Amino acid sequence: MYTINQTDPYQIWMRDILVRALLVIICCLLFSGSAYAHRVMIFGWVEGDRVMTQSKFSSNRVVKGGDISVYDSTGNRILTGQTDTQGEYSFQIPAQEQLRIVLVATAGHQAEWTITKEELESVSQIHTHSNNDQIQSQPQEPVSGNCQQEVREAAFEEMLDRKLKPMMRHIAESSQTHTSLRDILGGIGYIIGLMGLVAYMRSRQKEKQG
Amino acid sequence: MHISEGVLPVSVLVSGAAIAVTGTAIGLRRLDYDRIPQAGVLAASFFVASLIHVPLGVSSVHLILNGLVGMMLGWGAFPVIMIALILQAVFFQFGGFTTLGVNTAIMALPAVAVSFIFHPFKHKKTATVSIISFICGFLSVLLAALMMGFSLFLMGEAFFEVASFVVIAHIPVMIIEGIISVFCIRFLMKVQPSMLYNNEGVKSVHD
Repeated sequence: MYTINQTDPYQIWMRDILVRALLVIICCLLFSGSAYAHRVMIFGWVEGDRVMTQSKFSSNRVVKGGDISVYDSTGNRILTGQTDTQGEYSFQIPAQEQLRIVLVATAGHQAEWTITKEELESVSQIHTHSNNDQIQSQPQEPVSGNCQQEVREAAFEEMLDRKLKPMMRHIAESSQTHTSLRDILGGIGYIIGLMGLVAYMRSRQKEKQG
Repeated sequence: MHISEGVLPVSVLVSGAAIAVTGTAIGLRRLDYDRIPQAGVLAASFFVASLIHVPLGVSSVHLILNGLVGMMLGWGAFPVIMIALILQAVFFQFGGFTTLGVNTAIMALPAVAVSFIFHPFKHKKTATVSIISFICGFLSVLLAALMMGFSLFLMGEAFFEVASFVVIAHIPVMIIEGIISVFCIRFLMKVQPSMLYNNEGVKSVHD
């Protein structure tokens, strides 16, 4: 077993440093228990014919008055706006194509979220489908079982939308990664590993010279 | 104090990266064998310090500890801060890889600057060293905030507006870091002076 040679000042020094490092790390972990990473993020989801967005700092505080720009698939800015006091911003779907939503918060903080074409289509198809059918079917069969069924379907979709709203939001939100203890320990592990690597390389240099 | 990806133009990113690479090269040459454990401890501290944040107005600011790293390591602050920033980008999504150079320069240059202020005074009386430590801790954040304002200015934002916003936002951090620096330096003076004054026969960080 490796034991510390109490007479070797260098080993004592190393041991002291390691003990202190552990103390520092433990203190930092205690401190950071309730704290979150400092980063800004935005997430968006489609709701009916609107795109909803929510902007937050990673400390879970909302971004008030953050500048939002929406870009289409060719990179043209098609919309600009500001988040409200809830950190939310919503807009009518401008086009059935991929949308890039960019949030610029305070100095140097920026985040973006992409709404894919498929995402827009899958939601809006249901709506346009039911709307078109209603319009088309009304002149042909003003009062019929078919029309009633359409109305029922539309009501059902609306209800589904309402029910799914918190779900959609939750899914969008949970796709953002949060800092965990595992990340912190992982990072510290890397640092210790790198430190060992550098020390090893330097000790070989020393051997060669000596 | 992390600039996100996609904010700055390429010219600023490239010059930031050039400063960071040069600084890291100098730092690695100065970082001798006996300082490696110390560099590791400081890298770990810098890495986690950014998770300790102070909520403030519309934003929130976090501890940086670049002053402490600079006081202890001089030019060695460059490799230490760069490694910590890489890991912060990987694990916390702070900053990013394209802005790594700029962010390293923003935080490490002030660290090196304060080390030049600190070193002539470190053999003085405890009270003097305490005051100097506070100034160094305070100044390192102030300089970093000014540098950040400057890089955002190069992007096209009005310098005075951005710089004053960043500086004001970081005033609490400057004070906290000043106090932390005093405690750390006084603690080391008492229990482990060799970490501050180098081991006998070990090359000084400013040779």
